Amino acid sequence: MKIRGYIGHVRVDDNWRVVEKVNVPDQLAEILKFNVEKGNQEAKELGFSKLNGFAMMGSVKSLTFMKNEAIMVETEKADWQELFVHYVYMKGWLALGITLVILSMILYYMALFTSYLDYFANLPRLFLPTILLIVGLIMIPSSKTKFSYRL
Amino acid sequence: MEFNKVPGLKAVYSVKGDDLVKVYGEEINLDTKKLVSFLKENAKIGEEEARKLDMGTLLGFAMILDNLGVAYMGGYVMFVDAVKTNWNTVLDAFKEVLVK
Repeated sequence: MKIRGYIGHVRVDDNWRVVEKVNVPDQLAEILKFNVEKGNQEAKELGFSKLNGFAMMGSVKSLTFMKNEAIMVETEKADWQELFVHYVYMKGWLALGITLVILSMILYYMALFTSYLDYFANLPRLFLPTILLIVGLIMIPSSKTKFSYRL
Repeated sequence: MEFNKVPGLKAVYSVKGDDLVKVYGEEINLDTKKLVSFLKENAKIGEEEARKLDMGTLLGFAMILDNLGVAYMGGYVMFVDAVKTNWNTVLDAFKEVLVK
């Protein structure tokens, strides 16, 4: 993970069990749980549906929490936009995009250099991989846009 | 003050006693007194937590409620669209306000 000023992180599951913990105090998960529960309570009382995330800025270190993961950084070096963009990235979208591109390459190869797809006419043989390629190539960059911020 | 440099900024308020006073931007439609009491409470809890976590002294914090970003620092509250904003500019704006 390349995040400016990165110190450590912790990831929890939906029941607040620690899944992954790197270089952060043991009590962090417990503190996160408390804050999120309190934040959700406050969100409801203010008329919102839930707390989607929070950040704490200390004079030495800072902390962000979103989507079951907290990251601790050095305040001096932190790039806040980068911290939030890190969460914005949709891994599933990206993986699917890459898979589609690879699949389309395989289909192109099969259509052009092997006889597996000879059952289909010449042009239709290339339709499917072309569509897959286009969809895949659209999905890869869009996995990084702000549209995927929705938590 | 150049708040317009912050993308997705809705409003800036300052804490006056137990309520908020608008400094810039649009009217935020929520119970501001309740929000102030939560912010103060959270600041107190946050100070304690920052100490426990060896983060130094707490300078400020931000919460994302649905899609509304609420950032609190040095007596000012900034409301931003959490999707549209750039958080670096939010922090820069805070620095500018607080230095004054």
